[in-house]
Amino acid sequence: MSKHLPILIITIPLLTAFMMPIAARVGIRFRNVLMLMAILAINIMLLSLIPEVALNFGTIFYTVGAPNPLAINPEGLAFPIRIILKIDGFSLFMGLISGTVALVAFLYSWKFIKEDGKKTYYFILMLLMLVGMIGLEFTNDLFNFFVFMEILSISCAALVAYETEEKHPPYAGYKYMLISAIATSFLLLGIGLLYAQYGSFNMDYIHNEMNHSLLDKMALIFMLIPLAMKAGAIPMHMWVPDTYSEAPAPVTAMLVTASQASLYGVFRLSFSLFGNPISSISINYNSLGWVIIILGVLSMFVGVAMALVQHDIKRLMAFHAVSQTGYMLLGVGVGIAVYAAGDKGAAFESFGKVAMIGGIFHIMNHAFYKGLLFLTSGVIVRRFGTRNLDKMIGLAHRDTFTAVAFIIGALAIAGIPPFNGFASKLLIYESVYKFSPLLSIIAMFVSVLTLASFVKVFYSAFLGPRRDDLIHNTEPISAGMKIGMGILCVLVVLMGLFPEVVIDVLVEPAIAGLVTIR
Amino acid sequence: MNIINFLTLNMAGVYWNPVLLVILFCILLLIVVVWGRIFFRRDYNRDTGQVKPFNSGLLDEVNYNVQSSNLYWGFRKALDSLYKVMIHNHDGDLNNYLKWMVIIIAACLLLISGGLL
Repeated sequence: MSKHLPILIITIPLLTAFMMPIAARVGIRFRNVLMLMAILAINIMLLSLIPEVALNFGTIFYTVGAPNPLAINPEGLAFPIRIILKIDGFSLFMGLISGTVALVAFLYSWKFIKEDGKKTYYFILMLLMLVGMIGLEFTNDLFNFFVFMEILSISCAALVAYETEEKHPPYAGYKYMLISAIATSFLLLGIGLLYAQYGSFNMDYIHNEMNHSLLDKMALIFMLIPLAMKAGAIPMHMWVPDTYSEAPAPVTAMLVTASQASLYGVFRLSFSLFGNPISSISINYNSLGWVIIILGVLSMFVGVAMALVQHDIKRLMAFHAVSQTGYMLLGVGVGIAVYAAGDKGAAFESFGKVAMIGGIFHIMNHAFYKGLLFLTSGVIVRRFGTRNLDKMIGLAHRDTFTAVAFIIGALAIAGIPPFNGFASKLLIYESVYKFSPLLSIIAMFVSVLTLASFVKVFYSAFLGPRRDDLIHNTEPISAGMKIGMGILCVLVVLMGLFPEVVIDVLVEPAIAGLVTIR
Repeated sequence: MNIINFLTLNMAGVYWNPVLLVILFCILLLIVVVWGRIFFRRDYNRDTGQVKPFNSGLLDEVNYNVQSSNLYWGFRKALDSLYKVMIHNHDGDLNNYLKWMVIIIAACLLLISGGLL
């Protein structure tokens, strides 16, 4: 049983999704419990992989359909045909993020989404979204990567368009669907260029055989740019506020993780498929590092500047998602540029690697605090019946729990100690300062603006006199919603108090999975 | 000592121990509370107008809050020209959104053909 864990983590949510309509006929409670058990099982399985993959810096290869799936090392194959899953530190790191946020989003959705006959479809799509995320994080096969990206995109588009009390979700869903369709078409074109040359979809095989021709570099562009667009990198981020703001709150929390799965694709293809800046200088990685740094700085500044003037609470938070992606790009970009600059020993060990650790650590931190903030926005919007901050006031009198959760999320995203955002931002500030003080100062300035815009939200929504006449919905917050927000609050605080443990157990193995440091 | 090292983020010039910060914060909080009990005034009246915000003499509670859209007005005014460009680019038109992806792909293809990447 345990040797089949890699494939079970993907198939359990897939099979549960198809069982949902039958389970719903048995009973609503049975359907909900079945889904809860499935997501819990996935999280337990992911956690059980930590000792082998993270603590021992190991890599699990799983050959789908083989009599002994763990016996074949794909690097030893002359021409691998079967689909191979590969779980290294970075895959597991991203899988844990996806699993945790899916669990929280499900608990929140339990009562938040009304039981109107369509909720079963909502849960099916949520499970398919999880399948898409974990599938593309675990696969070592390019065509499967595309298939899982499609599963993720279609389920995301349908969930964004899921009917809530808001105004324009169908158009937002259509927008996401079209953006995704164009992006994955280019991705498929890139994959096709590689397949035409090497006759295989296996990433390790292509990596070993790659001759870094102009055609290969074109494939790199056709694959990376659409993924960067789906990750919300500047200047292809404009769909993010339009889509995030219309989706139901728990779906938005999962959309953040879905965008990060695309960011995973950017890093995975850059490092594992097209070469390793540590072992191969076939691509000018100094230029690539600087391109990523510039994209990161622009994402940070444009995201936060646009957020500061928003009056729509969810659009404001969505622009911050763009801004925070900039920090991740900045950290990883500096890591790449430092190594490629030539001083591979001292400079990289001194601060290049720390910048990468900060960037990767920030992915997990961002998923949790941004997920928390979007969940609190769900309560706020439902209470006031509007997303307009001008029409909100004094919610702290009524929803103290939500106010506290919002404060924790807001302080974390602004990089205030002792929350998790501070730990990763501190690593980025310190390491980037040694690379270029100006970049570090920009990053700190963006954090100040982030705090300013969340002070605005807190002031508008939570402070002021109690105004019951403005309250649109007086239903108490359900236990599931509180548990969902509570789990993320606890994670944000614990990861802030014990960052060294998280870095040792999860982030360093993730870096090792991404780059081979010699 | 080992526990402190275990809980300290210490790499490449970064030294950060959040647990020590929390302990320090608790000690400072205790000092402020004790200080307050001894020296703060006791004639504070919770149920009077003393606790209400002063809003230019207006008594209407609705006007107590400055609206969100009025906050950071100066910042926006100072960067007005930048905001005009940025807001124009976030107009919700899908054609414009996809245009950027095509531009970036084209620019990158030009870059790689020139040997930059």
